[in-house]
Amino acid sequence: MPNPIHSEKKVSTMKNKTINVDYLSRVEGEGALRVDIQDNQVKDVKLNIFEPPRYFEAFLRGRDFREAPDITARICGICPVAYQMSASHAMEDIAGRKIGGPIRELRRLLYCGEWIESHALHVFMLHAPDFLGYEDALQMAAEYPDQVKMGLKLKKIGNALMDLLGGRSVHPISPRVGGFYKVPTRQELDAMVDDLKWAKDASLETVKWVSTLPFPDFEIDYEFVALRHPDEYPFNEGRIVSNKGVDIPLSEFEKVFEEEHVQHSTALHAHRKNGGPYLVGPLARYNLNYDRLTPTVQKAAEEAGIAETCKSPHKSIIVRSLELLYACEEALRIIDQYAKPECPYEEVKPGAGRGYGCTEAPRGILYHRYDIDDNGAITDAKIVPPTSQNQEMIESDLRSYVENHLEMEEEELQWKCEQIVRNYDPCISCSTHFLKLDINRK
Amino acid sequence: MSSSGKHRKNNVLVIGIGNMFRCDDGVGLCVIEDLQKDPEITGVDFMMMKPDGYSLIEAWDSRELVIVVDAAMSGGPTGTIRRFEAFSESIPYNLSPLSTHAISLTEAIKLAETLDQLPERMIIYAIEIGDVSHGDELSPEVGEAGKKVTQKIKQELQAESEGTSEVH
Repeated sequence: MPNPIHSEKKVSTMKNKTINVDYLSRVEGEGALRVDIQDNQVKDVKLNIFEPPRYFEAFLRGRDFREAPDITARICGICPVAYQMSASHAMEDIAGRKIGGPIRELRRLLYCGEWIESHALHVFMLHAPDFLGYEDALQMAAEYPDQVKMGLKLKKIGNALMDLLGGRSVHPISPRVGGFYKVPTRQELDAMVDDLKWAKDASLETVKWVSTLPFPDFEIDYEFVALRHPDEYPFNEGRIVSNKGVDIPLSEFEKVFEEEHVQHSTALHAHRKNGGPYLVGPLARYNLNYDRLTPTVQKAAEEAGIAETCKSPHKSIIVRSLELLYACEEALRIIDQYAKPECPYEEVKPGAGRGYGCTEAPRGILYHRYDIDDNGAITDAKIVPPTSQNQEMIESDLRSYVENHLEMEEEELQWKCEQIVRNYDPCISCSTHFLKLDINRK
Repeated sequence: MSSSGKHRKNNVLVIGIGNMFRCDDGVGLCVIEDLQKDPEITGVDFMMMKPDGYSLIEAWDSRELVIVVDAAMSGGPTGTIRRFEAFSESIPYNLSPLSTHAISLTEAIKLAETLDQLPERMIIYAIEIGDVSHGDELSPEVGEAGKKVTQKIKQELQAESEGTSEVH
């Protein structure tokens, strides 16, 4: 039996309280959380992202359009592919080009690698310990060695796919505007098939395992926002849609959504214009694109008890596992149908203009917009990463949870708040352009 | 379920950990570069990586000998070299303090031990660093320490191949 480090006991508490998490663990990057409770009412919830601002949008100005995928990939070591894909698509949009055929398929395959690597890390190493009462994966490994080994092996397979297509797994060097500098041979991809078949079986087992974890009764009526494509579960293309009326082309993103600077965070907060927070990421993709999943994934979802809809942020661990399964199946499909393109890229020569790119990073939609001049130099750039879009929703989830659990013991409430943040797999490094928890009761 | 291995691995692996764009933090990578250039060293795998403990476990699983060269910031004089036999000596918990997004070297050893994925033997060289600002130049003290560690590892590899491993 595991040793839960935090019990569920509830105690009577003072009317005023502050919950402080000075440094949130098992999140990507650095941030803190402060909750102020006054007269048994939640007064304020603030995610304090103190990772310094990165200024990427500013130093893209003056750089050649071809440099954007490599420069923006440096924003994140976990989801560099997302940055490369959104930047490349935006530049191709300026040129009025749509890259199809095997290059498009290889881009989807590269994205499969990033989803497998990122989701395996979060499901097994960062998120599962929360449900089993462990401080971290190191503690969990003593009681659940098979699951931790499985997670590490899945992550390794995702990395290997990124190595093969991207030249290396962190900040890949092969993707470029128009395609790739180098594409794999049929034999090189065939060599991945056994591992991916293992990964597909392992993902199915993962879905079954995580669906047995203890989940709190906590659901939110989210506005989900994700890409939607006519035929595919979204990676690189689609319209931006929501379950509350949004259905727009990428070019209208800034008409519907806006970013705002808040004093307590170095990351901008995004929300609907004249509206509230919204959710991007696996839950949003899943709820908006369930019908685009494969029969295998849909059957697994049905057996896991979350077919078609899931509004529980804690159950995002099941959804990530379903997306792991999808990514493995999709990778196998692409490899099976692969025919090496004659040229690894299509020449793209944009004139002066504005272009948009939005792709599905593991944590949700990543929006890029660029203006370039006649010489192909970037004159303006806007990058809206998934975690900055989710920040306001995280604060909203925390407010809802704390309001319903005001009587909970201090230590237990702090632990639950940290879990709520980790449900989002927040990438603070990306959003700074984020975590520590304070709960103050007065 | 099984996963097929695609590449035949050498029994000995030398890993340099660091970031070549953060001045002294790149010393482990410089040591690997120098060892790779040495024609006298054969049958050894080399790896240069950023501080990512999860990938370390993948890399060293089922090896006979793994030598790790890492930067350390324990407050000692810059350029100080420390050598640890990982399974018989106590390793400072904060040996790789520059890891931010993944588990550290010491955490990776602990996790690999729990999962029974440790190599048979592991030697760690830790070089005390000073300057971790942006840039690709090593400070003179750290550059000198890197050269000494390169020579020491060469001796370790020679002793291993002759079956006369010795503890320095």
